[in-house]
Amino acid sequence: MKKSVNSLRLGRTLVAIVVFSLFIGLFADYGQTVPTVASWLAKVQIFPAAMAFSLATFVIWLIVTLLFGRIYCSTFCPLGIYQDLCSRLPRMGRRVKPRWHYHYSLPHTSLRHITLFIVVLSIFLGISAVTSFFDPYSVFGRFGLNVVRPLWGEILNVWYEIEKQPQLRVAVASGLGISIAVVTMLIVGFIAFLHGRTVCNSVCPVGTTLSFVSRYSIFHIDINTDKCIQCRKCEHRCKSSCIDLVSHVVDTSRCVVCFDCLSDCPNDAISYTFNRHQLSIPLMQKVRNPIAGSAAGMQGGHLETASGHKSDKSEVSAAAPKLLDRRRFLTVGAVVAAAPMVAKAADALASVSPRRRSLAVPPPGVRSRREFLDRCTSCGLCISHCPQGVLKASLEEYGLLRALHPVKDYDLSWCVYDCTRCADLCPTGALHPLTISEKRRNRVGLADVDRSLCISYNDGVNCGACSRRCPADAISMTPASGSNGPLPVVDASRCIGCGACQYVCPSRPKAIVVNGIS
Amino acid sequence: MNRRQWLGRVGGIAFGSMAFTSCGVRPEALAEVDNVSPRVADAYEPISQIDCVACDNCMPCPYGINIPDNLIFVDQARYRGYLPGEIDDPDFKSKADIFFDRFCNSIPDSQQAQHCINCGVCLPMCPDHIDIPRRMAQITALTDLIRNLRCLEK
Repeated sequence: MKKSVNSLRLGRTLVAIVVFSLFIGLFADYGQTVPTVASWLAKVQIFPAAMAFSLATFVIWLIVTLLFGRIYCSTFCPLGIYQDLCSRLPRMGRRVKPRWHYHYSLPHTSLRHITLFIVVLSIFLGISAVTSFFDPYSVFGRFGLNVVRPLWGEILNVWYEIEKQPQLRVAVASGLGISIAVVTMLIVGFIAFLHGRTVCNSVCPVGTTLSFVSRYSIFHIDINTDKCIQCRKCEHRCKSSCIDLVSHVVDTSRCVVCFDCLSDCPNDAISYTFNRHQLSIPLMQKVRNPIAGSAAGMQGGHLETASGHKSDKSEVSAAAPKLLDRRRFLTVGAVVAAAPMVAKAADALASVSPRRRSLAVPPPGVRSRREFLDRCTSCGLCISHCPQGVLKASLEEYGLLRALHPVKDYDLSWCVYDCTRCADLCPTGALHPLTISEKRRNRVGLADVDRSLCISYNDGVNCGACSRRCPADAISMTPASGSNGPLPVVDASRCIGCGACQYVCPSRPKAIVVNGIS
Repeated sequence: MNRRQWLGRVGGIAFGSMAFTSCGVRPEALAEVDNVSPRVADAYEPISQIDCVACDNCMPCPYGINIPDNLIFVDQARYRGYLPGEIDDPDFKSKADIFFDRFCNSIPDSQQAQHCINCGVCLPMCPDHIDIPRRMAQITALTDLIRNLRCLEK
């Protein structure tokens, strides 16, 4: 029995390690192999699937959670695995100091529900600043793009320097991107370092969604009350702080099924099973929502036994529920009342961007500009895999609240006519996958000629660089009256806004500029 | 995607790109040439010997191209054996990869041949009567083709 228990935990660890390395490779690898293999991992992430309204992925994960508990959180969520790594740091070795023991705590139910409510609201209202901030996959993605990828590139370059091979081009990420990525990862890592999976169980919207299902999960961690000797080893090991040894209930809504407790139990009292042993305390099984009402009694009982302090149990349970209820009611009410106003303000703020002559150009595969802006969670997968380096994280091009969305900078490079990589990779449905022929017709912008800047107009040079470079054959050099040389004329029916013309235009500022279309 | 391309792609993913070459299937990268946009594919022609001696008479180029560097790079690539020839050559892809990497590494973006606007200022300067704008166009066509090929392979 001991053996099978350990193999569960070993399996979880192995899967998590493989998934995490694939994720690192997905963002940091400069070759093609790992991204090809690992790109499906980004597509099965729950939050991007929800953004893409990809019902199948979402429902499959719900069913898996209903069967086996929140295994998504412990094996497939990159941020979850990252938190496991951070929380493991001070707890290495066989004997963990009591200072680093975990302890049971009550769930922050109202905080979870309010966060989930805000996030769902902003998904529907399209406030991508909120959605990209709360999506665990995107938080990790921004870290991968802005920190891991440049670092790995520099390391490879040192190696290539020794090997006398061509150097890689390491794109330097934006300062805003680096700071946001580093700060969020530090905060998440620090909380995990101290308190384990607190972020997953009180803030993360994916965790909260899964917890609605996982509390009824068929396979779950179960404590056999006949065998339990109250040694509390499992409670001290539980990074989700969800093992309540007073009532012998594992809060499956918070349990991430890491199997750590199984291997620690000296008496084999804990097992991963579909049976429910603790039915000997039937009252506790009836509790569906441990925070409100009757749960206060549980809390009182727990405190009493844990601290040894003899408080009057009935007094606590009589006073607490009403108080908690009113407070919760007021908080939820305040949030519900404030949410539309916040949303409206955010929307107004998003549209306030500095006056620009042109619209920023999004990556290919965009069906409508609005949809792209609302759905993108700025994970940076497209940016990290653009072979031309034309995509970069935006600063204020789409508005300040939509910072870090991918934007094309045609002064750096241009978009290759036959390339569909970013659109194929996007997991959120902000960019839709394209075939090559679709890509050649997919318009993201329109070239616009400013004749007063064109060197043909001014100097009479027969330039035509834009016309020769245009892959769609959309620019023709036509003689014009009042001009010293032939002028480029853009055929709007052919131009797809790839930016090759803007890139090669020899005049500064550029005489031909690609503007985004609304 | 036709059967040959499919085989090539599957072979490339599963066993490495050389897996199906012995079965009469072209390596996947060459199968992809059919997919490159015609304007890019047709513009390419193998580059013949240039024989630039880097006398620098053509410089400075008004548009910032480092003409001798570009021309000499191509000649050296031929000399060292990584200048891509005909598209149908079996080693086109491998040569193209080396060529492109070294080209981008040795010549900065702003000094590459793609910025030539065919103004002809350099033409009378060259003592060897090299048709510099045509050479620049050839180099641009080659790099563009390689760029498109690289983007196509997944």
